Amino acid sequence: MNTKKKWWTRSRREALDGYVFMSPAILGLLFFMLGPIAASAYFSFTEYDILSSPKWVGLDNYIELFHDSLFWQSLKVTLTYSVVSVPLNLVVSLLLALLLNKNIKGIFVFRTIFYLPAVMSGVAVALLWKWIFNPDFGLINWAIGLIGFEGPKWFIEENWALPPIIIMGLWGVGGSMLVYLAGLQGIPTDLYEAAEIDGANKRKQFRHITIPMLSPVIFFNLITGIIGALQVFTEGFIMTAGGPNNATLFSVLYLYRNAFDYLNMGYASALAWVLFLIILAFTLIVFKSSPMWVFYEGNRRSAK
Amino acid sequence: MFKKGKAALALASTMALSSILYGCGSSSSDNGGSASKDEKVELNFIRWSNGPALDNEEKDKVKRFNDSHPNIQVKMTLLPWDETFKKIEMSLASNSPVDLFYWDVPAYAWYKKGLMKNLQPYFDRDLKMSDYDEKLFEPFKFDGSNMYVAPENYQTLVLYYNKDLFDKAGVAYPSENWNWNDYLEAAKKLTITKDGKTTQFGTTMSLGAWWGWMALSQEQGGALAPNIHDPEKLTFNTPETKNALQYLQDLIYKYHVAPDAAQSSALGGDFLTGKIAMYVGGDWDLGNLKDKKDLKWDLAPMPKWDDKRVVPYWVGGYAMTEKSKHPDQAWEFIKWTMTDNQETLAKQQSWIPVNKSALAKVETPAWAPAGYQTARFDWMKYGNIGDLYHLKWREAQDKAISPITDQIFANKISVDDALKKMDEQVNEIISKK
Repeated sequence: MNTKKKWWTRSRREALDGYVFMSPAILGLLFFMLGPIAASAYFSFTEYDILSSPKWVGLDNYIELFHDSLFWQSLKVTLTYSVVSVPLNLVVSLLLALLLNKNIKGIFVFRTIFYLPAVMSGVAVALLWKWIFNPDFGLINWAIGLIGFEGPKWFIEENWALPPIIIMGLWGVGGSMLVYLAGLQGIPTDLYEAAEIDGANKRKQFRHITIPMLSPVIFFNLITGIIGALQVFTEGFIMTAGGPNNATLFSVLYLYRNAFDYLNMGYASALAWVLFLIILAFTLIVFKSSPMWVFYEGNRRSAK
Repeated sequence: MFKKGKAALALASTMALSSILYGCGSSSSDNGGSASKDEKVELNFIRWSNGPALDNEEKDKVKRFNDSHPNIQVKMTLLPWDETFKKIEMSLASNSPVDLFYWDVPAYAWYKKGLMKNLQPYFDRDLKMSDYDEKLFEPFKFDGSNMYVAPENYQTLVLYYNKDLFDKAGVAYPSENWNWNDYLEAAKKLTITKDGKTTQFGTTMSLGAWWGWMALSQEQGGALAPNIHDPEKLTFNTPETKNALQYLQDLIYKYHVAPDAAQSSALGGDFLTGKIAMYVGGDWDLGNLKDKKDLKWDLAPMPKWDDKRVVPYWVGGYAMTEKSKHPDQAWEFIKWTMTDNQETLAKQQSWIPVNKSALAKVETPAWAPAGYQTARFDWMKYGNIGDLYHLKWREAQDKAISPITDQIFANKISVDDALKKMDEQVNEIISKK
């Protein structure tokens, strides 16, 4: 009894709770994902058309990737999209969260409204935005026309195909906004009170309290944002079919086409692994940088 | 903190890994083991959807078959076009594939892998070939002598025109003798510009896809390859194809009688809303037009090139999988669509039936305008298949043909350069492996 009590400490119980909460994800990974993941690793070294059995080709698929101009094009498109859209989303969702963190009457209504788009189906939203960006009768160009300019040919000119997809990405900031909002509410108000007594103005409070206290949340949103952006697919698939002239050929779209349209499942698997390594690399870089700017409560390190 | 970071890293990488590598999983359905003669057999059938009106005709077709064949139950799954081929492919990869599917060009890959049933023995046993225009079936003898697809209907190209707009401009209606020069001259007169903005276009870029401009090339005797089955080399850079693409590009940028991509998206329903005077398009558009009471429209045959006319046609039909557990029952369904159901198909007027006697029995429908019979049915005299069958064809279209065509119709590249590029890139793709 005595020994058991000692073994069953509070920290062990907390750990068990943690595992129980994680179990759906872990079980899902073990039973449904590990197999396909391993299979795709194997297929990436084969020539495989789904219909006949795979043929071992060693590194051929990977070598071919490096000579495939469309692979590089898709990487360029995906990276351009990510580099612009990730920071943009981070900033916009933070600003929205700050606004919605105000304690005014009926704020819940606004929170709901701003979150709502995030739960809508990607396909429906994509079609909706296609109309909004229609070069001739879309809402955006109509508005630009009102102030006397001619709007660009969204989706039709190669250079104007990616920007509307980036802009419409903002439609989905609700998710990260909500996470920011939770983070903002978790910041103890006494910190602000103390700062006020010390004579810090709003901007200084934001810079020295809000941002550091929020940094774990920013970190989380940055990581999920990068992963999500590098895997963007629906918009290119539904709205532009990768065009015009491959200006919106995202990597995952190219992967999908190889797998299901061109019967190159082996090549598609190799592409998936390369994409995974790229995502992993970015994630690692962000993680390595985190001690410099992420501040966890209870950690004695200063924000600087 | 380090611990937290590590756990989060693991989580993040799993997220990334699983959704890319696993995102495209799919499973196929199993239709159980084989059945004896008297038992009810269930056939799995996948076809793509053509929108609610046509889908209802398909559902009705399957229902009528099931009602008249108590021992066979066809279970049809309707999917979006793209989804259809993915789904069938997954089922072919499994041990119990679907029994039947509705044919389209990407399925040729499955024939190449030996996954499509040779239907010739059934044809020989059950069909009276004099009921059909056998010459038009030739493209589906993939190996030169055996049918692998059972044709049920044809599709073709016709010239649609808006009579009111012709009357207003005082232009004579298109006739059977029109060639593409007449078409262009009429289009010029039918284009209306107001304050620098075109409010009505003579025609539209309905032939902008490869099968459209190849139709124009074919009229001049052009071809991508001497044979349409597994050609080893495709030739785009020919005078005929060049003329065809130049003609179309000029419609937009030289004569300004057809909208570019941006303008045409603005016109929306274009022909249906009376902003386009005429266009050459698939007879499948009739479905939208036949209920359009406020539009005075008519049909004419596709114009000639100089004095020669070649009209492309396509075939809709059924195919059976090699590993189907119930080939005889599946054939029953196919046979029924090619024989008993042909008259119903003819009455519905959505598709051109393949059975000549069924076609002969059915009268012109009340909604059909004067030019209907000639425009829709005369092509059989000079029909030429509008398909090309090659394992890498879809890849070639996506990677080379479509992007380069986009550039032609955005006026970013000359037709000459475009065709040289197409020759180079397409042949590189189709010769790989």
